[in-house]
Amino acid sequence: MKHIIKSNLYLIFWADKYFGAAVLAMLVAPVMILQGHFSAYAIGLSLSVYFALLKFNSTVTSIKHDKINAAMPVKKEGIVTSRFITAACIISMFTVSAMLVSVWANLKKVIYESDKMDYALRKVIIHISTPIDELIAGLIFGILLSVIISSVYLYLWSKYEHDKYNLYFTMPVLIFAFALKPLMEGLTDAGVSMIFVNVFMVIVAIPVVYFTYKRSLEAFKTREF
Amino acid sequence: MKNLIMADLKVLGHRIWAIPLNTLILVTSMSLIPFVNMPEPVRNFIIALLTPCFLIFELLREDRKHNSDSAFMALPLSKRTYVLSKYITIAILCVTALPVAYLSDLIIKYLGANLSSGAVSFLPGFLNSIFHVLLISYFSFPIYFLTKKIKTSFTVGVIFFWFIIMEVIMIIYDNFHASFMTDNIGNFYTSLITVLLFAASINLVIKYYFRTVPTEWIRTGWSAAILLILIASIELLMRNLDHTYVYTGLLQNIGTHTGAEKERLLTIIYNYKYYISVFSICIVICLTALFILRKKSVDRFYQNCVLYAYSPIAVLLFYENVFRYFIKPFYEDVNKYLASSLEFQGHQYALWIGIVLSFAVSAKFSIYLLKNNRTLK
Repeated sequence: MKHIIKSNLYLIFWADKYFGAAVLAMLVAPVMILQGHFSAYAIGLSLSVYFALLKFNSTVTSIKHDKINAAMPVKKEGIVTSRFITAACIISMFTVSAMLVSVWANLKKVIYESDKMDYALRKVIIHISTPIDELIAGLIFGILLSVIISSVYLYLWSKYEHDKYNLYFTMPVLIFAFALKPLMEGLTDAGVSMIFVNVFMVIVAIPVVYFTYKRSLEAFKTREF
Repeated sequence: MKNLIMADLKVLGHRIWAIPLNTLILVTSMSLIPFVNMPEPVRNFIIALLTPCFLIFELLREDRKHNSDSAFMALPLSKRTYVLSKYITIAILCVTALPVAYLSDLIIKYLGANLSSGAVSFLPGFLNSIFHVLLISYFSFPIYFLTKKIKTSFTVGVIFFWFIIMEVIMIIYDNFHASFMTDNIGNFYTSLITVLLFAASINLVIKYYFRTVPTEWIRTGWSAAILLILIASIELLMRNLDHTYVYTGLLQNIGTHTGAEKERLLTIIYNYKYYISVFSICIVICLTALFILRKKSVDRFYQNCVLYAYSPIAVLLFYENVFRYFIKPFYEDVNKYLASSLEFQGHQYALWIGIVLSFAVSAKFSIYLLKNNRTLK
């Protein structure tokens, strides 16, 4: 199991030279564009986790990794479980990265803070600051959303062929990620506490992970390679 | 060319309507969720970003899957025609987002869930969104035509966009800024000397420690540094010329002032002439230096790449500055545009100019790179 997870992480991050930079950009760009709004961390986290899974899937599919795994003395349950654990590893790694991005964003604000000029673009880049409570709320929301998205994606991966779900699953994920800022802004404007939202997300996430994991095991078991 | 475009659209099959339709359904339903405070520009941005991106990505994926680009290269077909057909297809795919955005606007207006700010701001808002998408793809498509790798080209494209457009503009705004009214030409001189010293020190290090580095690369580095100074000088010249009315106003009213105030205003009047001369001379020197560097170089490929890489900044400057001079006689509220660009009706003309210019330069860049692709992929 340990070796499969290691191999999975290798396939995601080391198999492509530019992928690390791309994922980092996905974490940084929303923070810059949304000027440190707390939803930026949720958007960045869910997008980077989802793209890491996409990368994982595309690498596994293109090198016929499934077939190789099927020919090895590895249980199919082990493969599915390792994918879920890999997703958990990715989420935790990106959470740490998002925290570092928040530190960097606030440092950048300190370095560039000056009223020397009044250009629109400058304002967009500079005025980034997220209060710590909002940052935590955004990160927890992002983690839970990433957990839900990855579980559903891994279930679809276990059940269907690559071409059948990838495009049409990516669309709602991206649109929902982009709609996160208006959603979270609307929620805070309406006076809904992020604690309730995150509790609701936990209530949704736990059964989603449990059922998708169970269903993925069954679906992958019945598949021929 | 028409056949190539039709072939590309045929390759997409049902996706050509399924992707825009799915985007429409998803974005509209997302906007109707309670608490979602999704204004028109955000909706337009999502639609303008995702619809063309998905379609373009699918098109390029199909191309790679069937290796159709290699097949096209084997046909009696010029590289120029091939690239232009791809760019026209991409333009058509970008246009598919327009009806989606309009329909989504209509549906939401009809349901009354989130009132739109009206048809006047619809087109500029949409164009503004698609302009940013095209700025990123400015770098991605030429790199794709050179490397034929989708992921690499889009990743490198975004990184190029980030470093070249955002950071270079930030460097210009932060360090080169000099206005005759604030009397801070020292900033400009300091940055000028810093850039030149930096380039010279890199040149020396390469010359004495890495002797195998080709001279063309060193010339390319110098071209990049001089281009940065040239762009900064043009930007500063435009910014200072934009405040000519202060200078003419002071000339007319200087007689009404006395004492220290008059001294200060006379300094500003003198500064105007001095600053304009400095920036103009700097532009002339930079252009001469670039011309000499190009004349001296045997292989201009890398220098041309640098020139193309800086082009979006030139497009942005054109879009920001020159546009103002052309539009000013027709629109009195041009200063209002500067405060809130999306509300200004004339903004869409500038966007059209920006989109067409960046698309044309990007296509030219792609043709150039494909013609210079020595691997013959």
